[in-house]
Amino acid sequence: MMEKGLYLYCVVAGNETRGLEIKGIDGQPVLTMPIDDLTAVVQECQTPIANDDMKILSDLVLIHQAVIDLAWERFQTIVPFSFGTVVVERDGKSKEENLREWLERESETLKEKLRRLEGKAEYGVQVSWEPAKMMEKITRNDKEVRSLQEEIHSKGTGTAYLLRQKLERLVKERMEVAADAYFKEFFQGVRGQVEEVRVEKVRKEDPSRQMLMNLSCLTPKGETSKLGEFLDRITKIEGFHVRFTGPWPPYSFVNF
Amino acid sequence: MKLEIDNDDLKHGLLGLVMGIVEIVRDTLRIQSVKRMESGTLTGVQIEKLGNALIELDRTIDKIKEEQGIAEAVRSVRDGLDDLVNRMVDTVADPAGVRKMGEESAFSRKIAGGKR
Amino acid sequence: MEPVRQGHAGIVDLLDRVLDKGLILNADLIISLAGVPLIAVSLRAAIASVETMAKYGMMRELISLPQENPR
Repeated sequence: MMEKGLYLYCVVAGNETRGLEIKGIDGQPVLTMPIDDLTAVVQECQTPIANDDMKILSDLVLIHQAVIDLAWERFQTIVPFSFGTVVVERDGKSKEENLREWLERESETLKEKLRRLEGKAEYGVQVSWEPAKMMEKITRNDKEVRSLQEEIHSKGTGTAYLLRQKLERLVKERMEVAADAYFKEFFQGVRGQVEEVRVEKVRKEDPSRQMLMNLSCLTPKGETSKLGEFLDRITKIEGFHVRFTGPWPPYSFVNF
Repeated sequence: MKLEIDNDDLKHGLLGLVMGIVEIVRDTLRIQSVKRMESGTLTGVQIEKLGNALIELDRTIDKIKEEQGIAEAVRSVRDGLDDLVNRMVDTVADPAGVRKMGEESAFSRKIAGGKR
Repeated sequence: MEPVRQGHAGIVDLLDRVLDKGLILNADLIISLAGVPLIAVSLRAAIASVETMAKYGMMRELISLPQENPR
């Protein structure tokens, strides 16, 4: 059962009547709806827009982002909605009425968010290391590890097997302690260079690398030279890699 | 050992699941064996026997995985279970999905080193 | 270093940023998430690793990865 909906991209400050020069989902025009000193950037859509085809889905996400980027460029400060937010007809009210009511109700909160985000952008900082390289480095001067390694060589196969299991667990513990220490150090360093930080979940990467830290940072748009310098220091450590992405619209900082 | 199952998908799914569980049992046995060894209650001979039994178990598991071509299926069963456990732990430990610095570092993932 | 927004894993970064982020509305009557929780879940699975995507040929047009030898 398909119904018509209004797809929400973002909310911006002021009354804007001009639409955006871009085609949205399904090639629909992207419109602006001014309500109470705020403007919603929307388009007509069919709902649900859910789809099992990965290619179509990722295209939808790319369109969502392209529209938000354009709005961000034109209006400077925006509150982006989560991908796939749609207003529909409910309780005998049209979708436009529902959107209007919601915006009026949330007006103060939205304006507060817009004030807080003015001129700011989000940056992603992801630090990974290569466990194989790190393992060697961390255990090189570890007495307990060394003596266990020597013991393994002097024992029969069965005993050596069990000692190897023990060694693996020991090394893993050492690695976790090291990872924690690095995390704290990097986190403090990044936090000192930006206005706000959120710790995100780490993602799996290809097997040779492991993500230690995944941060979203909020800071004035374009003011990243200090952060960049700090990240450069991390990349100089052997076995460490940094992904530094942005500027993004402040996706991670609108729900607070 | 040969299982005659015609449908490949079914075979992979079912055998992958069974073998994944067998591997988890094996991992538990390993951990317990190391603990017993460390506790000092076993003789050298007993430790050697225990280790050899585990080696034999590893070989058998690897052989079956190879013969049946289910290494990938087992891996995905185990990854799936790992994810499930991680999600459950996250949900219980962190109901609002808020992670604060200081409680515990965000680093709670397995160190991907060596073979499991 | 300078922040970037494109590159070979651009789509992965984007999905990371766009899914489950942005203003999430309270489960208000007027808002339908358009089946997107499902989308988010399946996309999440897809971005579990770039490697996996490469293996299954997902988003091949979006991500240029060195082609693996067919096994």
